[in-house]
Amino acid sequence: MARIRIPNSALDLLPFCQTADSPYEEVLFPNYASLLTMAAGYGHHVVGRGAREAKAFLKKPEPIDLGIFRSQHLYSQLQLLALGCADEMEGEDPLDEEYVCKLIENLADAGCKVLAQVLASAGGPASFVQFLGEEQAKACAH
Amino acid sequence: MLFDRLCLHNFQRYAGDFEIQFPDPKKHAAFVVILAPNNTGKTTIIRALKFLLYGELPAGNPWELVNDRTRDGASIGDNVSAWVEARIRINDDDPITVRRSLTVRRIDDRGRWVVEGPALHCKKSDNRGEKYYKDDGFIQSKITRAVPEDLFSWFYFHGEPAGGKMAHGGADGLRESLQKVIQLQRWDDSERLAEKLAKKIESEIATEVGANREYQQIQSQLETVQNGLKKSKEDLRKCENLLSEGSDKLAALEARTDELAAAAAKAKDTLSAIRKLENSKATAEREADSAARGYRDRVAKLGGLPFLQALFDTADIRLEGLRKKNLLPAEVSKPFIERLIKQEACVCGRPHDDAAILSLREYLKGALATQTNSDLLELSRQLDPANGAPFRQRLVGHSDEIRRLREVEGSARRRASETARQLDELHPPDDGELTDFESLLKDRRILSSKLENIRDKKKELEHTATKQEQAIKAYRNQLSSIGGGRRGGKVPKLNEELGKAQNLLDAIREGKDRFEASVASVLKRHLSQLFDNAVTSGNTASISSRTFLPVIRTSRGTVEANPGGGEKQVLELAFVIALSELRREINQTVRAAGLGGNLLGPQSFVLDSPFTSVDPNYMRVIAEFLPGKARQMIVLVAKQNWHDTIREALEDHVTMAYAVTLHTSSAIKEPDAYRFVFRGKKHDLLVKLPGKETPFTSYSQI
Repeated sequence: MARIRIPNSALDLLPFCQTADSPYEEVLFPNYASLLTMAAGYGHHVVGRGAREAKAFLKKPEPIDLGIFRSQHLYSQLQLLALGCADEMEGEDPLDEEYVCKLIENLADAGCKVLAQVLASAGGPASFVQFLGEEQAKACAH
Repeated sequence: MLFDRLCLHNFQRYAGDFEIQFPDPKKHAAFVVILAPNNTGKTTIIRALKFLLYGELPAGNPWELVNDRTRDGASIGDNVSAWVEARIRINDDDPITVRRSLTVRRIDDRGRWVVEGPALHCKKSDNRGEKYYKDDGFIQSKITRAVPEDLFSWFYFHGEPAGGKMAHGGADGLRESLQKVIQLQRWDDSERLAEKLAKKIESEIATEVGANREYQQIQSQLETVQNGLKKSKEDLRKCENLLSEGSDKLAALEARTDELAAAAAKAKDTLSAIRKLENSKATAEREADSAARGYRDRVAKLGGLPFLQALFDTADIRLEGLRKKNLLPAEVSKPFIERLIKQEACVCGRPHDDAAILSLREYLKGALATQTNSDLLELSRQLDPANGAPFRQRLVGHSDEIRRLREVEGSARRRASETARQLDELHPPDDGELTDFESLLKDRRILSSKLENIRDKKKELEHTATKQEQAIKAYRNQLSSIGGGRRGGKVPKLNEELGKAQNLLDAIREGKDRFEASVASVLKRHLSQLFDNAVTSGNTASISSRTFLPVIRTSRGTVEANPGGGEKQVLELAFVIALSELRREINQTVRAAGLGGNLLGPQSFVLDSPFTSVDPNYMRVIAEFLPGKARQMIVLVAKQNWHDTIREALEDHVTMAYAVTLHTSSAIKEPDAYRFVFRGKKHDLLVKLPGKETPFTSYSQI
């Protein structure tokens, strides 16, 4: 089954995922799949369809099987991104799982890069959470 | 007794004649300072006074009273004398000159002497000149009444009055001396006489009615009840003493607790305000944390969904396209179509024609895999308005809620911060203060309750005593009637006399109690005025109702067992001054009551080295305390005590000052010990003698 790799740019954001040794009180994501889904959405919000191809990926955590996204009820958001982004004229098939994986990796990489920069300059995890909330609020209002 | 002048002749270390003239104590209070280096005869002045007033000789060899140098110059058979003469005012009246002398005669070269005297003379002047008359005991008794020998060391002393033994009970000798001064033995003598009289009458009555058994029985019962009454009265007196002491203590505790109550109430209010603010701060912090948690949960819950809004419509259009092509939902599976094409006939049995095969192959191209079909159906459901459009629904109000939670958190954090600022401005009270107050309050309640119990007991005893008195009266009536019937008229008369004797005894005991209370009260009044104003420790002076000696009480009302520094010395000085005032008041009261006695004049004090063994703080306290406390006060100060603090405190009050100079041919190791500064002028009190002359001292007014 197709799997989505975690781009290197997500490294600084991993502590926001719920794990046994998470250092932050501000845990936002119950798992890595949630982080990737949010990052891909944010990446699309920031760069649209023009995300560059992600080239570097983490060995650990390992790539995530699409079945995990389905079991976490996250796959609809991935499908939404695929349907919204696929250019059939370019031969992109939004129903092709390989296409979906590639698209999400690229968008997540774009989103993670921006968010990692925000985290570095935010002055702490609490400020980062506030930033994310405000971005969500702005997107909703828009 | 006051001194106008003091002369010493060949007295111990004073060879030849020395005279010290004091300021006229009739005109104003005299405060005299005598500056004397060590070993120049300060303490000899005290010994000279004791010799003059009571004729006390040196223990062991009485001839040593006469100056060594003088005696060394005497040949066998020669007489040499020493004397002390003073012009004194015994009762604040006209001065008289008295002289006590001792004559010794050398009888061999081995240091043996015959002593003659001492003898007291009084100098009188008439038109034929001055003449000394031997005292027939009259002057001596006046002196002894004015300053009893027991009290000499209380008013004329080296270091501390009465050897420093008076505080906290003193030695037995001191207590006896004090009781003599306040003439308690007179009351005891009177009580004993009255008891003796009553017993004598009882004995006569017993003799009279010895044969009468019934009378004896009643008499025995009467004695039992009388003993009971005596015991009840003793217990009553004890109760009154306990009540008196306890009331003083309670008053001190009440004063202290009242003083602390306001501060304690304020401390409680502050504590309450601090707790309230701490609660408010904790509530605000909880509220802020809760809002922050809500904010975080909300952000986490929506994840990336808010960023995907723009894709909802595009996705809807593409899904609609699939639906229009009948690809979604995939009602027939891909493997079923493949199998159908292979079978060459429809499920109804009709063979496939070309159009049917084409149509089936076309369908097979776009048919969705089962998983894809399931994924797209789920997305359709999330976007379908007929299904409530769950994706869109989840975004409704998210923006407002995010902002609201942010504002709630911000407001709560500001509140917590403001409360923290208010907390910083409040200073928590010292726990110890409150604990002390609570502890004192507890002591006060316990003492108050004890006093209440003693009062109850006293009432009970008074009731018992009344009953016993009634019983005694009834027994006496019975005895009277029995005696009258069987032994004639003598017994009733004796019983009447016995009643009078008992009444006299009761009156004496009551008078003694009142007198003791009055003495303690007067002493305490004078002592408190002197001591409480002098010390800065906050301690107060009191009088033991048992011994009449002084004690120090702390602000908590407890007895200070070991006052340090010099507080005990201040207490003793205050007490001897208070005692001299008490003696005068008793004397005046006795005279005013027409009970006779000579007028008792003001008391002089001679203090030799009163600053020894006192810390510097109390040196100043004592130096400031002494001036103006007596009509005549003479203070002898050694070089090592003539500190700047003492000099500065005393100089302005000195009415006359003497310096004692040592004349010696010996080498002096520390000549600085002989240099004094008085009123800005330096005095060198050391004179070097040529050759090997015997050293001696001289006095000069400075």
